[in-house]
Amino acid sequence: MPDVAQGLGAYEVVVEWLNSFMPQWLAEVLYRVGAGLLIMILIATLALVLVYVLRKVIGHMQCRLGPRVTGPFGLLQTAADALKLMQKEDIIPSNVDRFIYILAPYLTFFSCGMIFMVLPLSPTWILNDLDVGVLFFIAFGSLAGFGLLMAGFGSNNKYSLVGGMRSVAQVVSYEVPMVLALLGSVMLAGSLSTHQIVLAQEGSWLGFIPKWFIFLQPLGFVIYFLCGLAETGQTPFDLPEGESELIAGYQSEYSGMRFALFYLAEFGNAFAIAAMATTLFLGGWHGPVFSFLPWLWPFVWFMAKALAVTFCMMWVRSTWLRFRIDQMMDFAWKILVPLSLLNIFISAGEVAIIRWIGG
Amino acid sequence: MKTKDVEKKKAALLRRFTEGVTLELAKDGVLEAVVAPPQVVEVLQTLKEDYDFHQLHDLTAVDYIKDNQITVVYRLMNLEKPDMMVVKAPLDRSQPEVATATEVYPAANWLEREVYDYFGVRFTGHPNLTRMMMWEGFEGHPFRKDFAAFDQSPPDYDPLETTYVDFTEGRLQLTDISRGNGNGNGAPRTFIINFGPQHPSMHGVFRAVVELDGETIVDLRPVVGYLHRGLEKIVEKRTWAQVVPYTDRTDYLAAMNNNHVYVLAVEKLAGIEVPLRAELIRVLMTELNRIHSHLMAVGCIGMDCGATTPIMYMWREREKIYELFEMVCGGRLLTTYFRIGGVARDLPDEFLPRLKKLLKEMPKNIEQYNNILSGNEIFQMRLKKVAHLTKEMALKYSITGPMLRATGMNYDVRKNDPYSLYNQFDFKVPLGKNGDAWDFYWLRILEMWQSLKIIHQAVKYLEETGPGPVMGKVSKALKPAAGEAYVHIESPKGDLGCYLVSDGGPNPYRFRWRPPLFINLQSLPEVVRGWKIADFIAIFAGYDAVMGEVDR
Amino acid sequence: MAHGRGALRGLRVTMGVMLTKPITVEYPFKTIKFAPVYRGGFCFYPERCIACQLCQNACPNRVITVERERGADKKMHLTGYKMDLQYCLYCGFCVEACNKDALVMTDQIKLATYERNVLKVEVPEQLIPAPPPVTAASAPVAPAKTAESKSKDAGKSEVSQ
Repeated sequence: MPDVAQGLGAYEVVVEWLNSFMPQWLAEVLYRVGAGLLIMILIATLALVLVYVLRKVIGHMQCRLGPRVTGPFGLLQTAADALKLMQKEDIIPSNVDRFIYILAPYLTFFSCGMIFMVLPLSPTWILNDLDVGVLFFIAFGSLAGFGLLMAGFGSNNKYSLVGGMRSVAQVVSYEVPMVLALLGSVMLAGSLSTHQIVLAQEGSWLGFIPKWFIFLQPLGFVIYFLCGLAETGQTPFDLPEGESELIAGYQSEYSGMRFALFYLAEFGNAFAIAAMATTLFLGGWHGPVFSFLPWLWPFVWFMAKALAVTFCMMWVRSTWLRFRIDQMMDFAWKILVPLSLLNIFISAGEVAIIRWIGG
Repeated sequence: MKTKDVEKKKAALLRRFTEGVTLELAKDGVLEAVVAPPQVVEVLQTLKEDYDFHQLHDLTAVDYIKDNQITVVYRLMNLEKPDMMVVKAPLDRSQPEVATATEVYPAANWLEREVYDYFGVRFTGHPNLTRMMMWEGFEGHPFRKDFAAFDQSPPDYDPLETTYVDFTEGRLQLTDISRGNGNGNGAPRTFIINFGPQHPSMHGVFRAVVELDGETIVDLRPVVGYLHRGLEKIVEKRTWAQVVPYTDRTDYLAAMNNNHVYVLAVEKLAGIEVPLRAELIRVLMTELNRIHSHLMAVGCIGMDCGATTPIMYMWREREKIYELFEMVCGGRLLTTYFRIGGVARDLPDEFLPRLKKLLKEMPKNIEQYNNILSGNEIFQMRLKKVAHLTKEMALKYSITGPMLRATGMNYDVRKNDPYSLYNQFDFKVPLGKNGDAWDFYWLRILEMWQSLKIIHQAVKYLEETGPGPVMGKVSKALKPAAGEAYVHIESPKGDLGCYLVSDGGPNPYRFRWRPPLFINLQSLPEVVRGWKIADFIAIFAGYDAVMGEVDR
Repeated sequence: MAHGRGALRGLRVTMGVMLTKPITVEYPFKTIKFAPVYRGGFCFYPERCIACQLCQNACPNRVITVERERGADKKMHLTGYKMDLQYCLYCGFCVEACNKDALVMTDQIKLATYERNVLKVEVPEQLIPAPPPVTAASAPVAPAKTAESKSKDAGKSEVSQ
């Protein structure tokens, strides 16, 4: 186990190990290919699990049972669905803008995958501990908007176009309060590196309150959570694919594997937002570590927290309803942005107080 | 009192129109005026302006082939009194032509198109006299008694040959498509989207051709007729008793109410007495069905706004109501429970206990809907102050039902023109203020409370009166004397009317269903113009459209 | 503007419902019991039929065809019974018209088929009792499954559950 305090990611460890029996450049390449594959497998697995959980949660919230038949407790339902999507004929409608149409799902999936690179899943598992990890997350989070716009534009479908335009308006507007809300945690930690932010949340106050930033930044967390819902297009902000208005929005014309990529990206993004909330507000992988398999527990804590946030997203999704487009914009610019600015002042005050106490 | 009023009116009318108008008082106290075709518009104008018949209740036609006449029947209403008046214009069958009433009553637009489609009556001056229900290229007019060609089928489009059929061109030219031009490059600013016929929130197969400027609706043209099954024509070949299952299939969310209006109309036509217990059961069932229909309406409004969960809770209660229906008549959606002269069978023993259990649970459940949906601020934001239906607009388009009451107009057939036993029940008519989408929604919740109240009373009456016959004396081969009858009731969707014409035969000579939704839907363009796409969906959900009734 | 209290109350409702028992009946594995008067698939008892054609006349859509001929005993006897179920409304008028409980409706709900001509059902000739000597063999005919319901008690007038 490498020294946690030094903020070492998996990169150094793995490349060092690979370098012991192969040339440096090959080790570097192999590491990157392996990391990419790992991310894809992770997202695919997460999507399978999350879709199942979503169906179960929403089912039970609606007095229903959710999937029950395929496999024990319906566990194989999502796998069966994935298999079905993969088998489907690859349909490209005749009048689409082919290049954009084909590129869009990959771009969306790519931007979602890149976010996973900076997620500190455990002290040793961060694929690349960038100094500007949070910035990187925001940058690739907003790249998803491009993919959706391309899908909407390239599909040659008016519903898709409206959906794509809505998604861009939404992603761009909610980017602002989101960044401002994240700034609070960054100020408290004094770093943009996700790993350093988690490390800054170590320990506890008075011995029992964990030093998570959510206790200092409750407003920031709520703003971030709402913006996260908007970024991933979840229920109060599911305008881009609002079923009752735009049928399926930007993904109306997609089917088979291309549709599956959008679907994967949607759930990957939802998890990434939840994981980022965990990193920035909920103390990341901090939690009680037991002597039994000590390397496993941080990972477990991280996943547990992230899944809890994801569950809250599903909960909101099953209860609330959609904003109208102008209300959605109003909510971002007239409510969330002023509040997040206020949050920055609050965090500045907190930083000053902590410095004053801590000397 | 009423007859005196009518006499006075009759005298005044006769003085006014010395020529071409004959007046007579029908059995049920409705004044009938037979007007020579050239004078129709003038008479309608006078009746509207000087005699307060603000609303064109219904417009239809009857083909009297023996007299070589097609009679166009205008049914006018004064909602405040309420008062009804019938204007009949007998037209020459070989060249049926009459001036359009759309300038007096804009609601006549679709109704005249329908009459043109069915009977071939030319309404001169009509803005868009095209077929309403039958497909373009259909030959003949099916409701004429000598129409025989039933072997026509819609034109085939080879899906491989015709890749793109632009239905918006030519046939469906929107009123003012060029208004957005002139942003520099000459391209239109607006674009057209077809919502429907296959669309998740078009409640069946409604099609709205929507002209959009970004997210804002510039114009809209509703297209109906995709679910047309010719029910009114089919039942002309059925005996009077056999019509009941067909009425189920119009507004399939309120089958009991449909049964009710039909059997009431036949009973009025043939003068059949109905036992008290049967009538009580009918009231009970129609109110249960009203709750069911409103549950669906409310749930669909929620779902069209994006809330998927509340409708599931409403399906839970709907299932309980269905179980009750199933218990009494064996059908769930399509009940076919009412018979001419009574109901099919008496309530089973376990019915009332189960109903009481439901009545006990219902208030708690409605509270649950309020907690999850009505109380949600996002939902209120979505509906409040969205759409503005005024009283004038409601009268102009002959809107009835919860939408009319949302404007603050106190008109409920159960109160204003009591039928069945409704004058013996104590209930209120909830009224809205703003005529916005929130009122459309909230009135339905309030009406559920009132229906619960009526059911409570009905159960009490039922228990007080005890067992009794549920079927009156009706001849097996019913042949009502030649004549006509009109009955209208308050269905969950609005003022549902049934107009029957008998020629003394075993079949209805003409069966006219006054579909409230079909008439309400005409107002859609004016109500949604200027609102956003999402508002259009929410407002349309507030219409609670059931295409089975619109298209029949 | 929203304070969000109503929205939070909604969250409480969904969480509460999630923790209560779902109302789903897992259909293919469990079924609910229908009411005795449920209007499902038909069941016809040829030996009870007196070929009066009341059902045929009651049907709004002319689904039923009763073929009959006058037997040696001057009474009408059934020679064939046909139903074209693709036009059937399941309104139950035929069953109401039948005085002899020869035609009843069961709680059978699996009535969908892939082909239209499957819906044209008729009572097999060997099940129709020959005119003069009346046999006791019971022969109920349901649209989808005939063999299954053959063993039903012929004397039972109610619809079996």
